[in-house]
Amino acid sequence: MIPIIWGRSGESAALAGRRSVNREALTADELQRRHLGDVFRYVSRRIPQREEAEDVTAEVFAAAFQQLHRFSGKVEPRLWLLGIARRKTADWYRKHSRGAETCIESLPELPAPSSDEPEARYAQEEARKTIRLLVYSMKDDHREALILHYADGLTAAEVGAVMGKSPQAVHSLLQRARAAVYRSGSKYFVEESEASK
Amino acid sequence: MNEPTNDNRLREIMNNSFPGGEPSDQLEERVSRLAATPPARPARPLLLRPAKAALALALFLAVGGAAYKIFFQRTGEQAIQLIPSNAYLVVTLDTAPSPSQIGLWQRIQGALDREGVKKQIGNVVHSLPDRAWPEFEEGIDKSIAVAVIDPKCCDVKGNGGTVVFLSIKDEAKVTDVLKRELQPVVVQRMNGYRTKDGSFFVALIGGYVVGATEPTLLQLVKLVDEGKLNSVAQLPEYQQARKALPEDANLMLFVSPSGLDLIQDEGKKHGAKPMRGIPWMALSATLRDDGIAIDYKAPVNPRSNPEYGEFAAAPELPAEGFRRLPEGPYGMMAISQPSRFWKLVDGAVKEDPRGRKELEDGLAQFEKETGISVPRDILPALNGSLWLAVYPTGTAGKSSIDGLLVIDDSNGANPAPLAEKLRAYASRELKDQYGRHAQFLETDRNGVQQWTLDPSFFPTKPSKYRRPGQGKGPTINFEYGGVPDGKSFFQAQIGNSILISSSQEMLDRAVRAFKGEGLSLDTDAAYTKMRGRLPAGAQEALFVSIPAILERFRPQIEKALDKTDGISVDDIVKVCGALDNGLAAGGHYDGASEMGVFFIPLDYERVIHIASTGLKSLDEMEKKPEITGLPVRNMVAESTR
Repeated sequence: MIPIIWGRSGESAALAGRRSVNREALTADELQRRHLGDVFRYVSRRIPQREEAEDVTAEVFAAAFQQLHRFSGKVEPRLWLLGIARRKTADWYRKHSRGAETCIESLPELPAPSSDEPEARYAQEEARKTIRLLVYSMKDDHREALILHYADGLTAAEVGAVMGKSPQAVHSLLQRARAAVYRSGSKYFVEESEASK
Repeated sequence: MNEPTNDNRLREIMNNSFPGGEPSDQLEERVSRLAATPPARPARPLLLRPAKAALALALFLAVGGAAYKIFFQRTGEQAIQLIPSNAYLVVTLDTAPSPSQIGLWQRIQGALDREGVKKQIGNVVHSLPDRAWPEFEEGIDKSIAVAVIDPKCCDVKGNGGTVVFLSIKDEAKVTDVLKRELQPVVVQRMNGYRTKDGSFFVALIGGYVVGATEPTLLQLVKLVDEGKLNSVAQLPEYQQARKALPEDANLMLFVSPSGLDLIQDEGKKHGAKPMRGIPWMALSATLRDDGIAIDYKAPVNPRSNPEYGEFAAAPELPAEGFRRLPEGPYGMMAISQPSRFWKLVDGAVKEDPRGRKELEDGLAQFEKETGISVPRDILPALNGSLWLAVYPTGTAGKSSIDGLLVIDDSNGANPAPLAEKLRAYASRELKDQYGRHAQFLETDRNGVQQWTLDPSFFPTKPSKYRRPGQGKGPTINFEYGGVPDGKSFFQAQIGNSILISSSQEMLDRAVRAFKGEGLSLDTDAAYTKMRGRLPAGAQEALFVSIPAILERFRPQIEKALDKTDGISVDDIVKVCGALDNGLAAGGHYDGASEMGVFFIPLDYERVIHIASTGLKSLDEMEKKPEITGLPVRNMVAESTR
């Protein structure tokens, strides 16, 4: 029986070399039904303005529907879509000539921190601001790998499939990105000595 | 041990810092619409060997034209074969796509299906009293031709009028409807039909349903079909016109020599010769992926129309001009050698002594008052090219608009002395409220000589006027005058070229671009695309970046839109396509023909969506319960009785 690689069916399925995708099932409707949320979340994490994010998401699906006949089934459809979303998002940034600074300025208000305690709320807010600034000041590849892994929840192999890099290269990117975050945002993370207690 | 703890913490913070949203219903609907649109047919790899491919290409080119018309059924255009050659005017509409339009047709078709427009149109048709139309429609093609014909050429008596040609798809069905709904008659020894009131006659001729207001006209069409009369297709003028228009034009209009003679005769009655030296005119509209391209062509004989003939001497708009204007205007126009238009004015009064004297007197008076002579100052200044553009300026928080006029010194033109005379004239004539004359401050800014109208001359604050109300009279309270901050007259001179703008910021940008230092129109994606639409050798051009203008008004549009009516802000803002699309128009006279292009940018899907939403809301308005007990339709009927 041919396994159908739909949705988040695990790291191995995302890896190159798996050709056993039931491509008959890959229709435009299915793509939309299963992955519109994934793609929109991906885009809206990177383009804060909702309308713009919706436009880019629509462009991603327009491109995907046009290219559907070329989809080889080597990667999960979700990762294929995220790959397109990555290129479309980059196009958007180029077109709008926006650097990370502008993006930070225009980040929308985040939902209120979950804690009821004023001090804890303040700390949460501070942590979010610092991390955002930190992440946007990183190199593009580091930032992308970090958001894909920690915010979008992709495994290293899946991040590699989206970014067109090997899992080893992704591990290396993640390691450097994490080191930068821990170094600059040390107060939000557990000290090594403390953790080992 | 440390890593997983921090890893989880990092995941939590990242999720909090980069929260992804959920797609809205509108987005889901948009993507659904996209999903329902059939994708463009994928390009197939060329499997043939090169020799076979070359042979196939040669064959395609050899029979391409004929095959295209057969396979793609340009039945509207083919009706030309039946239209008598003395027709004044011919219009053909072909709704079958050309090979390059197949993708676009699928898009339009998809959009019409999604929006249910066909059903809406069907509802309108079915509501007509003539129930036979839907059945009749099934028997005919959607292409059409219309001609205005004068029968006086031939041995046929009767009046002129309009003839309509509808290509037959199913003759049995068409005949059935005609027999049932109309009265069979013999029209000029030809079997045909007429309406019950005798106002319209129909006959089946040469594979078309031909309808006319005069039976004589049907007889003429029959004579053409039998080869006894020439058709428009045989006119050399039509053949030239057809060649000048795009092969896949969807709508074509041809004004024949007899049509232009008629206009000329009418003009003569009023002492004008509007169509002097023009033997025919042709215009077409073609649907392109991102808008409608309108092409026109008309030969103009320079011997019959010598003033116009001089237009041929005007050079093409210089490519350098596009490199000298800053990027990103909302719109611009450019004219090569504007002085040539004076020759038209001059020529128009050449043969009219009274008109000539009036013109000369007027010029003398103008020179006396301004110190500026048209032939000695203005015409030599306008021998180069003139560029007028409007730009968005200012900052995000305080946006503004500025104008820019560039008159260059190409073709040996020298606009600098004219600018000096204009400044002198303005200094003499302009006075502020204290009787102080306007002053121009001369500076050297970044190595360029510049003049600015003394900023203190124009009050930046508006004057207030208040008159308290007396008795029952209202209090009058308003402000007037006042020049927006930073706006005035700014002029620079580089070589003999002059640059005039409404702000220093704009002038600085223009000077940088003119010197080749800033980004220019030459690298502006939208303007490069719009320039690509102009005919070769364009002597005039007009570009309007409609998408950019609409984008500027996005907040106002958003405010004005009712979000519940199904039309989104994007539908309005992007109705003319993406930011790299725009209106482009341009023309060229080469000494034999005037030709040009007018491109209207459109996003068909959005246009269809807006139109369909409008139709639906009209429909809903009609269905709404009546106020006075009568349905709206009846109320209208009642009110018109």
